Amino acid sequence: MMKKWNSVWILVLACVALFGSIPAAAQEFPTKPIEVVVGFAPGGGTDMVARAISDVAAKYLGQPLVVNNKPGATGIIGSQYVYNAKPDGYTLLVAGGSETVSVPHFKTLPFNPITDFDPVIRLMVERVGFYVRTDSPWKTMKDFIADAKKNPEKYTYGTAGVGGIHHSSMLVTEKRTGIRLINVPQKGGAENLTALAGGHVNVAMASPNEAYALVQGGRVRCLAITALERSPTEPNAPTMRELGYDVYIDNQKGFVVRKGVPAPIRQKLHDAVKKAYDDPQFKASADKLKLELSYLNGEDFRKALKSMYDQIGESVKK
Amino acid sequence: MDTIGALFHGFAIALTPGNLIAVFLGAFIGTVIGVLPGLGPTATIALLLPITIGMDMVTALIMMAGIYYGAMYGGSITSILVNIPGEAASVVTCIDGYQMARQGRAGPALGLSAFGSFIGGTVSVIAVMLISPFLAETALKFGAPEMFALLFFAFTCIGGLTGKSRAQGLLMACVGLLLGTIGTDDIQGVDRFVFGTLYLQDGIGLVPLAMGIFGLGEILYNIEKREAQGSVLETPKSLLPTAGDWKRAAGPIARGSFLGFGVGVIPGGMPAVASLVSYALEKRVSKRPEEFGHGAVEGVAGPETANNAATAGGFVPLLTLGIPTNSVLALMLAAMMLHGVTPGPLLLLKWPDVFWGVIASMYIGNVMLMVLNVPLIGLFVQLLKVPYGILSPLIIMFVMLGAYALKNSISDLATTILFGLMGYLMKRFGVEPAPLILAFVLGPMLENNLSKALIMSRTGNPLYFFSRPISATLLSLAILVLLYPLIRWAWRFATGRLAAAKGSC
Repeated sequence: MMKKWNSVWILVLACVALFGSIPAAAQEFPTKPIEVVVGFAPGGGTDMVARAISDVAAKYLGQPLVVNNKPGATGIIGSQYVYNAKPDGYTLLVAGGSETVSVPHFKTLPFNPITDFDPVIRLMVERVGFYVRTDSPWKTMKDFIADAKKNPEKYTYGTAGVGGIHHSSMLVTEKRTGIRLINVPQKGGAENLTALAGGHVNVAMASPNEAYALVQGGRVRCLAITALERSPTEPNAPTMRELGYDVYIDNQKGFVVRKGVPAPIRQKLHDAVKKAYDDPQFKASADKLKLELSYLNGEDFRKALKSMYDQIGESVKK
Repeated sequence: MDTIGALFHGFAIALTPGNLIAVFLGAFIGTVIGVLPGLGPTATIALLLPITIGMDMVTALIMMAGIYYGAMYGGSITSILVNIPGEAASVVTCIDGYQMARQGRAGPALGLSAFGSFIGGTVSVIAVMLISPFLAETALKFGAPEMFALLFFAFTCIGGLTGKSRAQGLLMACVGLLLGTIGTDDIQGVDRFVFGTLYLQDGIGLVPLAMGIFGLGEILYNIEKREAQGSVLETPKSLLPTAGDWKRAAGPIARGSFLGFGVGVIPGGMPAVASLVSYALEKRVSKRPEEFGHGAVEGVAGPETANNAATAGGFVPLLTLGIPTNSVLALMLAAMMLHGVTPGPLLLLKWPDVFWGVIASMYIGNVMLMVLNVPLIGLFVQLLKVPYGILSPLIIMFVMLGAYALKNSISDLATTILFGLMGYLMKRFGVEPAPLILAFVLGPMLENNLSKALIMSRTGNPLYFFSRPISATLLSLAILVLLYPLIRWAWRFATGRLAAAKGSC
């Protein structure tokens, strides 16, 4: 009998200790290095923004941020790793692109990338553009849409892979403009741009920073982008909304944490990373890498993610 | 003349003390990470990227290039000595390189690998320098139909890879093909044999598979043979290749240089693919195909030359078009952009120092690799004198560490162990791994490009392949290779008949 009560008391004390310690924990946070999980291999846009911000944010958090690449399954392996981690704020995921808004519509996942994570801060958007060869007959997006409408299933487009955000951007565009194209999925962005430059596809979906060298070299041009605002790298390409089509897809990159991380810790993370975001050192390296910075706080980031998730969901279902 | 002048200018940049140190450091670090399985050039360069921001850009690029081709060479050291492929590109070197080491010929194997890498690398750099812009245009013509035709051609060589028993070899090729189908299909996005796991969606990795089949399988087999008491390997006889070795290696090195460079330039042609295709080709053209798998000199020299040549070839699309064909080159692109340089057609015009500095440093880097590694062969070979009872747990440790470090994934560890068991059984029953590896790597690429080409043809008509000049040529060649035995037989039959008819007259 005595023993039973003992264990109850221990439990109660443990609970008091646990809950009582949260505000203190938030104040002390962080007391150890923070893991920044990237669901893609080193070298891509997701990886680069993670490394650039981590170097600077350490200054404001007082602890190093360690980038850990967990590549696989279009970013889902990394998401799953963070989903399974302790919700204590020491494991951040760089998310907001394919793995969050696009892949869930193509695959059944053991978690929901929208509701099982809490967005902390958005750092950048990688806009998605429609690229054609410079010698192609289409001078504007309007030309292309008109031609493709007259000739359904005649023209091909390439993307970095099935189920990714570039693929979904074209699916949303097809749905909202009424055109029908043939998908030739490539393995990765580099292969996709090579296929376009070599004339093996008519249109390629790519981000302005990926295509920058080919545009500078006069081989390809951008007809339009699917973003809300024009891209600083492609200032002459109109957005689809300007052209009168209700398409708005951004490949966003920011920090999210597993649901369950206490709000004060999330706030602390947000504030420190925001300071790093405003730091000229981060701005300078982002500028050189052609990373298009675009800040949103956690709540607005959540809304933007939800909007893209819903648009894609509706277009994939058909 | 212009090119030569520019090259001298490049040498003037590359030979400054700071840049010489960078070449040396890069080649040295590259060799070390190549030796350590799992730790590859991608992870290393990603870690070094922030440091390079403060460096002069040419210096930074020179060091990165050094790391990249140093790793290609370093990978062959562990393949030859302990049967662990340090990198995907040196998987195929395990097959004959390790057998050479078992026969006490580790020194010649390492020597041929070093000289082959040097020659392949140098030939390739010369080609990059002279014909880059022209090549970039040709490489762009390589779409899915051309890639399919090239892979189809490579597959016709698999028949020659089968060794003792043709049936067994073909069976292993089928196992390789089946293992290659695991994962999400690239075209439709359908999951195949993933058993509801996320891990298998990307398929099985080549390095965990090869480290299991070669490295772990070998150790398990040796333990069973109770060789754990002493060294399984004969004591090294000589350190340098003999005149006979050179004679046998000359052809493979020459073919490997051009094949490797060609594959490296094509988008999607990785050093690992170059080395596999070279191996298949060498066995096909060899007069002694039965020696492959049992320490054939050609099986080391060809692939090791080809993977270094492909490494340099990969710089063509990067420098002339700004397209990185793999993740190492993507990081180098990032390094250039960090310094405000845009690779592509403008590179030569606007930043000639970068272009020629890097080219010149690649010549120097190749020499540096030789200088660094040839004197060390004696030292590396000493490793084999370590008693096997001590060496084998160390090897297991490095295999496990490497399997994890690759993608920071515990599941990769499990895969390695599983294929270790398979490798043990294969060794036990005398099954040769080469057809399995080749089919495993090339099979999914063949399928992917076939599907894409058929989508591009709109109608799905296979004659589409013959409507494009490059794919038509390659496919016709492949068909000739396939029909060659039949033609030869028919020819002999016809001439025999004729002779018989003449005789009876």
